[in-house]
Order: sequence, then structure tokens, then C-alpha cells
Amino acid sequence: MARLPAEVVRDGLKVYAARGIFQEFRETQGRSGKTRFEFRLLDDPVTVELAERDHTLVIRNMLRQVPAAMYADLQQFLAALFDRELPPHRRLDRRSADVQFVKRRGQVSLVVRVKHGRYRYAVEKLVSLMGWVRTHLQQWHPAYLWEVAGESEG
Amino acid sequence: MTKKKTSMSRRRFLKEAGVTAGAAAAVAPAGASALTGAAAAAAPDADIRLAPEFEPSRAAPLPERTWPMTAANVFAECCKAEGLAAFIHCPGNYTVQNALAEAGIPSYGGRHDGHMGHACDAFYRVTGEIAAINAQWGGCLAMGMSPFTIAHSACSPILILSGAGRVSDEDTGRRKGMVAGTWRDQWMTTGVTKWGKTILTADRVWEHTAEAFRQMKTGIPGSTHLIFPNDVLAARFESPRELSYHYDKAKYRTEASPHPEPRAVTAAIDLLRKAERPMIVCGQGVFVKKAWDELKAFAERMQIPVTEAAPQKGTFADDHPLSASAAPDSYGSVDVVLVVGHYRMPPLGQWAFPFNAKYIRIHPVPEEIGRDIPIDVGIVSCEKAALQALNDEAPRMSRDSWIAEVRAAEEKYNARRDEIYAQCRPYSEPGAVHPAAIARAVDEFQHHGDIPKDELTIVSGGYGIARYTRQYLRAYRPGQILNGPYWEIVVGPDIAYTLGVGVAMELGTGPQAAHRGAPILTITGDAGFGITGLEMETLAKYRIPAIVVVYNNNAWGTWSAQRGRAGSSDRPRKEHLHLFQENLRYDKVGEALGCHGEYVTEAAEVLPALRRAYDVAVNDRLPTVINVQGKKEFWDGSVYPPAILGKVEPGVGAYSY
Repeated sequence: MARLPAEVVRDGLKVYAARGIFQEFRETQGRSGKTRFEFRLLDDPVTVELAERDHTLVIRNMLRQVPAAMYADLQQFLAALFDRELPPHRRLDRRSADVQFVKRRGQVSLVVRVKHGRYRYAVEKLVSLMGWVRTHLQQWHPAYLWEVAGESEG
Repeated sequence: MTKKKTSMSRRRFLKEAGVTAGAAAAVAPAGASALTGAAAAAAPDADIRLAPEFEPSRAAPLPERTWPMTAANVFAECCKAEGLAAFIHCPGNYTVQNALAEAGIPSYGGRHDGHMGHACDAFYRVTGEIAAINAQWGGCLAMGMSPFTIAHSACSPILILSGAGRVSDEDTGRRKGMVAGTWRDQWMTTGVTKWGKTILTADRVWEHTAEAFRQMKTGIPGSTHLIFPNDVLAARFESPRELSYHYDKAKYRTEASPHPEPRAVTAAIDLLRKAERPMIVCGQGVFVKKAWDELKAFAERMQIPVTEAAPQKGTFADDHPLSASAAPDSYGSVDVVLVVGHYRMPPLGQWAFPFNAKYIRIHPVPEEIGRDIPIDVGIVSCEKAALQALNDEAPRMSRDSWIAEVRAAEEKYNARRDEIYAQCRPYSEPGAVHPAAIARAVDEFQHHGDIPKDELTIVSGGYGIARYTRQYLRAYRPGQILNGPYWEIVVGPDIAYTLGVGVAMELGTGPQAAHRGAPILTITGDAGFGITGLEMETLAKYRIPAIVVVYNNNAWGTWSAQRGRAGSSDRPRKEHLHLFQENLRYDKVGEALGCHGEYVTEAAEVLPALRRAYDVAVNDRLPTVINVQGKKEFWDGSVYPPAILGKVEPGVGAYSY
């Protein structure tokens, strides 16, 4: 019997909670049948929202106060990850998931639309993206990390 | 416009004095400066010169030291037996100072106690050998707190020595170093040392010195602090029998090292064998234990790429086919990380490895394993022994696609670096050289001229400028690059670090032996020069051939984040705090301190200035200050993108961890 999407996502995220990467991991039921997974990563709160009806996984407000130029760069960064020249472990596969950033009032959320029930793939890429985006910011947007994210300079 | 100012250079001085450099050198004592003899004749011109007593003093024979001995001499003999490699300090606590110098410990005197502490730290970072600093007491010792803190973070052991009043004056408040029965100076270093002792019993001086070396040379390296009250130092012993403790080091410490548990080795090999994209992070422990051959053999056997994260670089050569230090884009692919000898693990998220990567950690003591980053296999062992054991059990493997990915990532990194240069090239203008131009010139200097790429030993410091130059600087031998801001992210020590590296190069200590006497290249900013720049005088005094590039942008690196809005005439009240006077002449400061000076105001002149400075370093054994005039506005990303560059850790671009 196929496993429910919430089970797959929960198990996928719990691996990180069990290793101490995600802290204070908890799960709540939201409105409209949505499941919310909340935890702290690098001391910041993260909410992953699963909407089974829409087949989406969303990191709500992943980045705040994002300037327009940085948002444009993030879109380019994301688009480049679909390049078929990239090795599979560094690539996003459109046959399994659509991934996009959505910006509202300066807050940027990461939206993963899951295809063909490939939730395991989606949750793995979601976690990978949290790391890849962070490295991209460290490399190309250090001032954002200092001034908005409150990280120390240096 | 580029100006070359050499009005106080040795070369010009010699010309005016009518003496050729060769002739002057020929009449100078071995190892002495040619200036010494000629300078006296030119005294009315008040040119900068070495005191006539300087070189004879350095070349003076060591006094014969036999029993009876003072406690100070007993201490010095213990240091000598332990192979204390250098003594870098400012005058003070004279009995100890003189005892060490006259015991034959290579001794150097500088301008500021704190700077000497940084020099001791730097000496260890590029040699793995211990140097001592000595302070009078109290205030002088307090000046060393910055370097002691930084050395503590870098796990650089320094033998810290200081004086005190008399034990018999305890509680009277009449003598410094003691306040109402409390040993104030011992408190000062508590927290940034591994061990410390105020020596109260003279006949235990050997015992306490031995303890200091046991602490520094075993386990995780850390500094120790010995305090010598005056009456203890004055104690006199007719023979070793009068000491309560006097043993050879073989009796009070061991060279034995912890070896790994076989099952831990098997578990690590199993994880690495199954890994598709493993990577090794080489920390300072591999350098300190001189385990670079073992690291190379193991990496090659299992075909595992290696990157570095340490206070020094070059333990794994950047031009090795498995080097991943300049391939930061590959870090996001790693599935197993083997961290070896990294004594200060960064918090999660500071290294660019994925959150799902598994970790193997090799560390000499168990207390640190599992801190900060969760581990999958812990190996408690000396780095060298662990790498040998892993190599013994490792299967020979090939990982062609993974290595190809790493190599492609390096090509991408280098291509981006060149794109940044192309983007920034038009920004330079007469009177303002962009950091990208300096970085490119440094690359040409290290890699594309007549100098072997492994010749220079490099102090990689600075703040904003570092983010540009580190794109190009590479290390090809152990200890070739000193990573200035490691862990504490400070820029101030750069010139003092240069002194410590200069001492290492003059002595040819440890892995620097093959490059003894080679020039040093230092990268710093105007902020850094302002903090320790007076040690240019010490470099000149000891004829240490350092080439110091000062990126002078008229401001602290903090200005970019604290400035007012670009183009606005309204300035925030805080902004002046981050500004210097503009167009300061650090080259002239260098000249006034007896160095060669170069003033560069155009991008095209950076490389010729570096080459002239190299000639001065090699031919005249003099340090140079190359003052490259920039402007703070280059850090305004809205006008001069990309301005201050980001960085990915670990690897060549990293410096915090």
C-alpha cells in the first residue's frame, strides 16, 4: 500500500531531526488539510507546509526583506539548477517537481509542486535547497546575511 | 600617476655614502647588515641606520654556562633542552630575557608586547614550533591579551613569560604583580591559556618549566604562562642536586600518541568506501603532526578530494589533482566529510557541505568529537596515526566522475574570478586602484613571473582586500600561507604576523627549512597597517625581506555597512567613526622606519612595484611597504558591483574557519 504524502515528508524531515540538524521538530495540522512541520535550523525557525490537495511543499517566508535585485538573482540561480548538464545530485528534475520562489511584500517563499507523487524526491531537494541557497547567499550576497539575517561579518 | 619614493632606502644611502652594496657587504661581519660600518660616516645626514652595536651583538659568542646557576638560567636551560625555537619579545623582565638570549635561543626584540605575541602565534602557524614571549608584568602583559586570545582560538601554543614583585612582598601591595595576596597577572591569562603557574618555590623552576612544555606539546596545543617573582629568579643553585626536580624531558612527557581503535577505522573505511562523493577537510592538526605525506597517500589511495580549513595552508598542495580548495561549488555535492585535525569546528551552516552529509571526525581527544556538527564515526587519535591506519585498511579506489566534478568546479571558480576581474577592471582610475587589480597583480607575481610559485611565504590578511586576493593566492607546500583572520576574524595583526613568519624564514624552522631566507608577501589593509605597522621597523632592523601590500582605501572595512546612503548629502552621525584621513602615505611611514617604499596610484603599476620590492628583498634584504591607493567607495555595490565579495568555507576563499 502506498504511503501517505504526510508520512513520506515526515520521515524525510525526521532524519534530520534525529541527527540534530533540525531542532525542536514538531508537527501540527493547519487549515484546509495542510500539515505544518516546524523546526529550527541554524537557530532560525523554519516552517515546511504540506498541502496534499495542491501537491505542494512550501517553506513559508524562507527569506525576508529581499531586495528586487537579489530576488532576480535568486530566480536565475534557481533556473540554473534545472540545467540538464548538471550531475543528477545537483540538478532539479522538472519531471519530478516544479520549484519556484514566490515573493510577497519582500518575503520570499520556496514552493515545490510535487509531480507523480514523488514526495520523497521533493523533500530531499527541499532540504538540499536550504543549503544551496545559503551557500549562494554567502558567496554572492554577504551584505544581506549581515544586515538582514543578522549574521556576523567576517 | 605612479611615484616611486626611495629617499631613505638603503640603496640610495649606500650610493650617497660612496659605497657599493657589494663592497659594504664584503666588509660586514657574517650575517651583518652592510649599513653598519658605512652608517657612522654619514651620521651628520641623520640617515636611518643600524646601531653599530647591533650586528656585533647578534654575532657575539654565547657565554659558557655551568653550575652554579641562577633559577633564571635553570629555566633557560630547560627551554633549550626542549628546543624552544624562538624568543620574540619587547624588553622587560630582564633576568629571564637575558637568560634566554644568552642560552642561545634565537632572540628578536620588537616594538610592542602585543605585536610580539602575534609574531609568536604566526611563527607557530607556519612552523609548528613554539616561540616564547616575555613581558615585564601587568600593563605590558595586558598588551598581549589580544594575541593570546587569537592564538588560543588558533590553538597556537605560546610560552608566555612575565615578571612579578617579590614573594616576600605579598600582601603589602608594594610590588607590582601582586595585589592583596592575589596573583593578578595569573588571572589575566586564565581563559586564554591551557595552563599557568606563578613560580613560588625556586627549586621547582625546572619542574614548572617542564610542566609548561608538557602542556604545550601534548594533546590539543595551547599556550602556557609562567610568572617569575624577582626573589625566585635570584635564587642560586650550586648543582642540579639542589633542585627538587631535574629530569630529562623523556621522563616528564611522552612522544607517544593516541592510536585509533581498529573498529573505528573499519567503520570509517566502510563509510568512505560506500560514499559516492566524499571529501577530506584538512585542519591544523595535520600540519602540526607533520602528517602531510600520510594525508596525501590516503587521499590518493581512496581518491578522495581534499580541502583545507586551518590557520595555515598548503598542508595539501593546491595544485594536487585531488585538491578541492578552489572548487567551492563541489562542496554542495559531498555525501561524506572526513574532518581530520580540525581543532575549532565551525557551527553548522558555516561550511558549505549539505545538511545530509555524514561526518567522520579524527581528533586527538574525545571531548570535542560531536560538538557543533553531528558525527557518524569518531576516531580518537593522533592525526598521523589515524591517517596511517586508514591507509593501511583502505581499498584502492577510483572516483573518476566525482574528481571530474571537482575539477569542473575549480574551472568554474577560476572563470568566475576572471569575470569579476573583467567587471571591476574599468573601475580603477588614476588615484584609485580597485582591489581586483591588486589581486590580479598578486596572481601574476606569484604564478606568472620568474619566481617559483612555492617560493614566497604569504601572510594572507586584510578584510575586504582579502576577499579578492584569496581568489588567486595558492599554497603548494606546508605552511606557505598563513591564514590571518582565522577564527577571530581580525585584521590588525598582519604586520606583526609578518615578523613571526620572517623569523621562521630567517631561521628556516620546521617545514620552512627548504625555503630559508625566502621573501615574504603580506596582504593587509590600511586598518591592519594602523594597528601593527610600527613593526615594519623591526622587520627593517632584522633585515627581514618582507613585501607588504597595503590596500589603502581611507576607511575601516566596516564603512561599507555603516555608511550613509550613496549619493545623499545627509551623513549619519556614526559614519565618521569608520573613516580615516584620505591619501595617507603608508609608504613614507615605511621609509621613515628604514624600509623601502612604493606608492602606487594606478592599476598597471601594482605588478612593477611588486617586482621592484622583490628585487629589494632579494638584493638588499630590506622590507618594502607598497601603499596602493584605493577608495572606500569601491565597497558601494550600487555603484561598483560586486563590491565586497562573499566567501565559501572551507577552501581558498575562506578564512573564518
